[in-house]
Amino acid sequence: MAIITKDLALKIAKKLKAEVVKGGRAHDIAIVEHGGKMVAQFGIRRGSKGDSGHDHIPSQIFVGPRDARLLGQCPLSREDWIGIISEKGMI
Amino acid sequence: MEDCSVGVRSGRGRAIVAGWPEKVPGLMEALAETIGASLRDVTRIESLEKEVILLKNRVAVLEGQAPVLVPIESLAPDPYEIIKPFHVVVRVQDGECIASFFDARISASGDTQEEAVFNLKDMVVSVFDILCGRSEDDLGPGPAHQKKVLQDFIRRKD
Repeated sequence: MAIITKDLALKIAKKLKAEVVKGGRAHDIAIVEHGGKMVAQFGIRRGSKGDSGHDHIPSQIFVGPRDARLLGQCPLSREDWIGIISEKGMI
Repeated sequence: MEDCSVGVRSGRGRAIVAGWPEKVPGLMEALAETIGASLRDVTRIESLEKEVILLKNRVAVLEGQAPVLVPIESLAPDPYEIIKPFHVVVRVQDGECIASFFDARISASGDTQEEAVFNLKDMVVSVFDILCGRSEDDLGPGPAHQKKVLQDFIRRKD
């Protein structure tokens, strides 16, 4: 069972205020910006079921699976995430 | 094995061993030992067979989860060409396949290894397009690094 499902991926995109654009044949791309710069992106599988796996997302947004899940489930805010990736030199 | 021919006399097709009643306990003991040894062997073999089955199953699971290195030499049918072939790592995690191009920090998921690699190639060209459409000033450290790496490996066909 995947840790990050498509439903959760969409929630993460919304939480991070990502702009979701059409990607290639299989994905939409969620683009996350901060301070006028693109700081992260991740793919959301198009046409897949809500419970389809998106466990590639944590590494794409520079956090572990647990924090990625918390982002989608609410306890972790966008500001918290910005703080985490700032410490990692990603902003 | 004890020599039973000693003291044998024949009569009407039947062989009688002289002093056999005294030998019966010893023979029974020897038979019991032989049967016991055979049973121990059978038990040991059955136990080993179970171990082998368990190990085979374990190996099958580990083989299924072992990361696989897949060379990428084409992005067809997308209009991009590979400048320098690269490898992606496909691993199984919680029953899902994740393909990663670690240098470019791009990953994609799939229900199978093939689907994960297909999805990753799709992501690589999509991300490349997005990044090339932006100036360096518009990119944070992560995407700037991705753009630099991707430009080393792929380019759009003219």
